[in-house]
Amino acid sequence: MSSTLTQLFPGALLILGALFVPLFRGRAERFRNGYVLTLPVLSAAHFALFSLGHQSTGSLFGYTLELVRVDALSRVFGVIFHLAAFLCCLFAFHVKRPLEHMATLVYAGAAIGATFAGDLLTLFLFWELTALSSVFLILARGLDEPERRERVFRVAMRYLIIQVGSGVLLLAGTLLFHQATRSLHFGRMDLEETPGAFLILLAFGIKAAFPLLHNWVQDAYPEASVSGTVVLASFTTKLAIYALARGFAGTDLLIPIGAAMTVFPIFFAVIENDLRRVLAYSLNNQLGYMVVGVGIGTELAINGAAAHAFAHILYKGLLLMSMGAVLYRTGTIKASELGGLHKSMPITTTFCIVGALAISAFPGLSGFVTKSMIITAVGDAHLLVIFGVLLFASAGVCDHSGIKIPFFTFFAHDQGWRVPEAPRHMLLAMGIAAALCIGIGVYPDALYALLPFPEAAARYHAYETTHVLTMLQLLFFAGLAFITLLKLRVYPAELPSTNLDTDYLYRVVLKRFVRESYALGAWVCEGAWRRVLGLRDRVLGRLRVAHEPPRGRFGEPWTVGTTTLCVALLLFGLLLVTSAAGCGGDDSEANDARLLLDRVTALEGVPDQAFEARMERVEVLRALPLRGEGLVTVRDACAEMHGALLEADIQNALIRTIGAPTEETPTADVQRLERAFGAAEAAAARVLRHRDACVDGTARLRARYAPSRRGSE
Amino acid sequence: MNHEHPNPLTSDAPASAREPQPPSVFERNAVRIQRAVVAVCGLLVVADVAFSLYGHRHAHFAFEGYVGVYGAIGFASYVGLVLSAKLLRALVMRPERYYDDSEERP
Repeated sequence: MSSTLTQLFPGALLILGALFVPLFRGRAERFRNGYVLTLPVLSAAHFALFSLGHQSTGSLFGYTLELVRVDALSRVFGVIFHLAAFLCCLFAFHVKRPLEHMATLVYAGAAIGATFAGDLLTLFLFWELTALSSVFLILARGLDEPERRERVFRVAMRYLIIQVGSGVLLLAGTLLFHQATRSLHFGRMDLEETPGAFLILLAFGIKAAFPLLHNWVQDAYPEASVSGTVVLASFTTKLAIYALARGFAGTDLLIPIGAAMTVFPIFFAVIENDLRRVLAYSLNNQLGYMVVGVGIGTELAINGAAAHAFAHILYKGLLLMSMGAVLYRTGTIKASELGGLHKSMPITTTFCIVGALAISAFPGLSGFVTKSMIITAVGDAHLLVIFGVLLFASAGVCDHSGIKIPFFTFFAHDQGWRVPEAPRHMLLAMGIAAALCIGIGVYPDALYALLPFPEAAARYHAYETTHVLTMLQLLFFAGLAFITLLKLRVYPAELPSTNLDTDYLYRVVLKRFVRESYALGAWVCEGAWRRVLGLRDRVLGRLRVAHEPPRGRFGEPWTVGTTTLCVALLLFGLLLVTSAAGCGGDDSEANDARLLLDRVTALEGVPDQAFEARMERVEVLRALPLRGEGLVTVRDACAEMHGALLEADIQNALIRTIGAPTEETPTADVQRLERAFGAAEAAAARVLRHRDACVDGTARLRARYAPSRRGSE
Repeated sequence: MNHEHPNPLTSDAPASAREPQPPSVFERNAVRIQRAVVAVCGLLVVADVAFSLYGHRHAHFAFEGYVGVYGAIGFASYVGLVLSAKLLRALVMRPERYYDDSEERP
């Protein structure tokens, strides 16, 4: 029985079970919450059947796939994901639409499946499934609140593009990785080994919200529904931390990346007004600690990263649940509109404070026993700057999550909200999460036993006097600073606002760029088209010149050999064509006539003063090879006539240049004049002699061939 | 036991719900709470002195040896963070409907 069940991957029951959620409607709807809540429990029981070291392999298209691999690293994430799925399902009892329950279950199941994927291809499939299923948690809010539909849809699409983009990078990286190593095994990867590893790191980095790749978290999470945000915050980013710990443990590059992640979101968190967005920034900051831990890569550091992810899912879930309850009751989650809610929602207030203390790493709560592992690992590695950065960020966490969230929601200025306490199922979910936060803080050994390196964890003692004392100092003096700033009235007021982050680049700059470049492109295209037309005319002109003898390249006289070869080839080609076409029609006389007419027309078109051009054309005409007596006669007559005309014009020009003779005219010029007059007369006589033959001949030819000649032009 | 609030997400709380209420125990004791924080800070410094005299301090770096250094770090980081975040507002703060307006344009 157990072997049959272990054929299914862990989390499969959640995905399969989700398919039946829509059946619970009408009278069966009251059983739906019970059914939904049973699924994580069943899935956890199923997961318990897998022993440590379990592996099941399959084969697809000749690739060996490792569908399930259970080891200590994946196990701890599997446990917390099941726990989170249970709490999320419990917290979402008030949700009426089956869509959100289904999305939650499929999303959780996919995240669990991805955690146990032993090869990169299986990981990719689950990786994309988490993206596709989780986007419905955002879209669901648009269904409930029609006035937000447009906004929610845009957010969801931005989220989906980035998430799917991460999957595409993962797939590309996987292919390159396989090409380089001939293996799809998902294990420790080396960045120097193959560029595929870089792409895979980038894919993980997007989902882990690396600096500058982070903004989808703050953009999308706060826009989801009351319960959807809790679900979203539990899985994707922590799955990415798991993947980093699996693939890139000890990669030095991750240490500065993680340190940057802990710092820059806290500035935004301080000034952000939407409290769920504050928590999204805070989530980003917490991921930074885990990335630093993964980057250091010692047993203690990996333990710390895994443990911190475990604790983080619980306290971050708790904080988001408390904010969700406030949103559910008041309809707003803006700090500028909230305050004084501790009177109306005292139990939620208490749970929120537990979560705030846990995330601040207050001794006695879960954050303290996990974050201190990472900080100790940094100290052991003697990274002074990183150590300082993490301490600074710890004080920052204390501000935005530890103080700002509970203070401005439940205390501060009483805005007059008089609302009921959160619904019972929310209180129960928050209560369980709070109890776990305290339980892990008080008895960390239970969590430590689950960690990837249990021996190293057993050697670690969180409650050392130095740790406790230094952490308490840090936190209380940060609190003192808060009180001081509040008294001095320099603490930044909560203002309704939007703060620009990197999303400005793609929501405004990129959009503007696309729009402007479209306009620019249209403008360029129009100009380019005009140039294309101009170019066409020029090319045609060149071609015409090129074919115009005798200057044109193709008009140059050829050697006899070339001509013979060309003619032979031409004839051979002609033979082939005619024999193939079965027609031997020869219209050579018409062609010759047209050619002759063309030359004559061209000659007539030349201006009278362009003597040289006329001379050239006369020569061309005279050399024109023609067949047929009649054509040759007309050609010669015209050549003679135009030659004589040209001669007469030249002599007349000469006569005009010298001018009418007077007394002073030199004898030489007078003689030249006389010669010119003589030549002009002779030329005129020649013109007269050939004129009839040329004019009549061309008129005859034109009458016969003109229609086709016009058509050929 | 009215646990269900009518249409909680779409409506603001009714105006009648926004009535002044007597100050709670926290509001009455706000000053005492602040004094308590100051007192705890003082106690922690005293404890630090005592611990550095009689206990064994686990330290990775030299700076950790000074008494109250973590308190100073906490205070300075907090003030530095909040004040610089205030400066950040000048750079990144926009009206609440900034993106809505820019996205509604065709």
